[in-house]
Amino acid sequence: MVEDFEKDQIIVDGNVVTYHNLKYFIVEINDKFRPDTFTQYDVLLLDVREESLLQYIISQVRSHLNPRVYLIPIFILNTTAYDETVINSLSDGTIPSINHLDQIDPKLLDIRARISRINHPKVLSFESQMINRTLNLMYTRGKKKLDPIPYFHSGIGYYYPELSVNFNHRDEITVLKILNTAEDEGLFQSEFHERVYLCNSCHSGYLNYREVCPKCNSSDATAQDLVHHFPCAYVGPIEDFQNSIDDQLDCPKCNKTLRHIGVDYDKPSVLYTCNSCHHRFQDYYTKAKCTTCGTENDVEHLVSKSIKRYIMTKKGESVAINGYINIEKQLETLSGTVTMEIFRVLLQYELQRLHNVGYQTNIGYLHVEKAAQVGGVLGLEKQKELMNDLVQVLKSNLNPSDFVSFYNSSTILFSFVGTDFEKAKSTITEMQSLASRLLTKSYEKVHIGLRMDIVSLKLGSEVDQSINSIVTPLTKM
Amino acid sequence: MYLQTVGFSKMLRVFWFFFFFEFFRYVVVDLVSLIFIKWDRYRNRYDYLDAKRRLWLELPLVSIIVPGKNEGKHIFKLTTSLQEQTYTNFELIIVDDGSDDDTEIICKSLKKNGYIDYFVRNEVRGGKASGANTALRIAKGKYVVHLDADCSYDFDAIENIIIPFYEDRKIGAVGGNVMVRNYRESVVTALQGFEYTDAISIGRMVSSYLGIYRVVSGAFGAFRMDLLQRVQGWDIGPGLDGDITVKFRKLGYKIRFEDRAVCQTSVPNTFQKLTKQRLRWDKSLVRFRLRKHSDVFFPHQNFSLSNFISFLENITYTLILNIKWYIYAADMIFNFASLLPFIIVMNIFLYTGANLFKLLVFNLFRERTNAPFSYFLIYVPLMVFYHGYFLRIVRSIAYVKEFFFKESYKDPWNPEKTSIKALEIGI
Repeated sequence: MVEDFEKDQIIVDGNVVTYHNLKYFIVEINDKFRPDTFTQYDVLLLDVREESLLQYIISQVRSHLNPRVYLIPIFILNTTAYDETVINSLSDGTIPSINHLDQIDPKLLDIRARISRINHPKVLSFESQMINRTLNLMYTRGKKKLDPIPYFHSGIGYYYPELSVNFNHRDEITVLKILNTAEDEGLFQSEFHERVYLCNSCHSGYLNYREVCPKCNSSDATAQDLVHHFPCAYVGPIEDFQNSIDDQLDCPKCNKTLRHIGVDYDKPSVLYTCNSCHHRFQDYYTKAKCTTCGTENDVEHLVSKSIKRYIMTKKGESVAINGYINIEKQLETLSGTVTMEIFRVLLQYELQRLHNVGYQTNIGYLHVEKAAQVGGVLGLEKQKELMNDLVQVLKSNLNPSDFVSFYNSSTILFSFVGTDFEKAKSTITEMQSLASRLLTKSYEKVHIGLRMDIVSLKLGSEVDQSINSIVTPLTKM
Repeated sequence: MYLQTVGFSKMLRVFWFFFFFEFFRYVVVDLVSLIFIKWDRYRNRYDYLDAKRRLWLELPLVSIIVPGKNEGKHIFKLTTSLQEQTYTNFELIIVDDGSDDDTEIICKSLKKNGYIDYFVRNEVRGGKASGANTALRIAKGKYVVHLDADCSYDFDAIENIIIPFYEDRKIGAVGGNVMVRNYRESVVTALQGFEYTDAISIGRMVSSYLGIYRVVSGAFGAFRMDLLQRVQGWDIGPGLDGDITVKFRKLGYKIRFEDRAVCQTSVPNTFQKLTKQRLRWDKSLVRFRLRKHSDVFFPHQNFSLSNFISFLENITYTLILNIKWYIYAADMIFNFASLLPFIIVMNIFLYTGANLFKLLVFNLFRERTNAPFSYFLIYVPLMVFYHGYFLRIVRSIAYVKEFFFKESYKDPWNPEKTSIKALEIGI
């Protein structure tokens, strides 16, 4: 009875509220905002009025890397609802005050039950990580549909809350690529919603459609009617016919007075004169000026993208619980690499040979640190390019008989057959420095940390055991 | 045999028309002139090179204007031949005079792809002159080259048509050399091919040399921009190319034919179409030479002897001799009725001989041809009928129609609204 009484009591200790054995943390405007510490709490209560700040806090929480943070239930302490897309879509509701915590109990119970069912496998691919986060958020909130919301602040004009929150508006084109991949994997079904046109240079949807001079792209032009005088075939703008004495129109060529349109003159065309370059033209060009990067796009060269409504499939729901691990197929096809299955088979042969002849064999790895963040900055295509560059560095320094394979999209495994361990170790150090220099030169936008090392294969060990001895420490980083 | 039998005086009496007019003007005068042209060209070869050098030194902007209706299908070919030009400092202005086919779509696409500099569409058709004047309004070049859309041009045509302006400051306009592209298509086109090679091209070389060149072809003609602005562009046609040439001559400027500036065009391929074209051309002689510009014949402040001679020669050889030919025919019928079959055969023989002589000998004076002269050899006998009968009859009909009925004002070549007004004020 006493326990039940304590459970029902709302105990307030500074910003921490305890109720029904759950710890609520009240985020206030004066707080030093530290999402990392939210792992200690079960629910966040946002006591912030200002919309932009509220939006910022929610975005920071929902885009946090730690699942305990980005899945945490968020409620807003307020009596009125907000119109803002991010706030509404990514928070779990509003309550008037902490005295009304009982109102959110059922919802909270459901969310927490769903969160508890979720497994979080270590995923190193940025793309997989994003898919997992989206599915996790949707599943825990009981959402089946991922609707595109027209959103002014979105780079592509539409916002998929659970996914777009992870991107700044310059990179939002990646959202569409990730959703396409998820659809291809059968995690979503889609329905066409709208088509958007994006800047060819930066993929921004902030476009200013303008009618411009075909020559200089200026939209400052003056229109002029051309008048054709039938008897003498004179053609010129109306000013040519105006005189300073009266309001009559007199032909400058034959001095006759123009009296009746259609009978002795007509206006067959309109000419525009550009006030910037004085070019004369009859038809404006329509150009789309990107307000983000300033590129003048020909409308026919804009990037056209379908905006779809996504519905989570049964497979998607299962993946939401069990996790989505995608050893990117694209990477497997990079030249000079073999698939992981083949890598395992070849490694098996090596171990067998080691057993038979007793020579030295090593296995090495190259790991890209914080691959998810790097992927976020570079985008999928660039990330693939990066991995390709690294494979080429490896291939040019290894023996032709050595084999290289992707363990996942951020870790490459390779054999180092028949080389003395110490010698191989020094080669690895050189390769790491070479690769680091290459990355600094080629990828200025982001710092890419590399880890490389080599492990000597032990007599009698199994293939999986050998691989695990390498990758396990990496997945814990 | 006949000459020995009847004597030379009798021969002249019967064939006076041929000997005194046709042979003298179109063989003797032409041949002598061509010899002088050849000599002058050799003598002035360094002046020509100097003119060419000055053109390239100045590199003036040339405005190429192409007015037309429903010409879209020809425009791409035209732009292709213009892109090959040695002289590239030009702007290409296409005016669509109320086309009702795909011309607008084609031209807008070509403009977007940079083949055309300016494209103006007149929603309502205003006629060729208004189209050309619209282009003139936009043109910024020092020289204006008027082209027909269905023509194509030698790669040095634009350069060659501009050079004469640098040879002589008094040259106001230069006519290009129009050749027949489809001369192999039919007998009609072959006859016109022969006519263009011989009568038109050689005829214009000679008349240009004699200072009486009258028509800068609308298919290929270059004009000084300042003079075009002074005469305020083209007047309503048909025959607007001849009309503007007269206006330039009246300003006191010389008109030059440049046989080295070559353009090729497709001519009518049936007698019906050819008749229609020639009726239109021939009516303009009466309308413009005898009516609109009749002041050339009378003494006045700006009287010019060369203009007078130019007109007189034109009127004499096209109109008066046309009438006189009928007098000649009557003379023969009434006075030499018994000899008629012989006279006809002899005439054919004389004219064929003259045509053959011209084809062979004048070929020595042509710097550029698009067809081997041998191709036309088999057509030599037919030329007598083509020139002597077909063209003469068409010309006669045109004169009658224009003299008595002012038919040119009813020609659908111009929109009715403009023809009515032109008729009202008598131009």
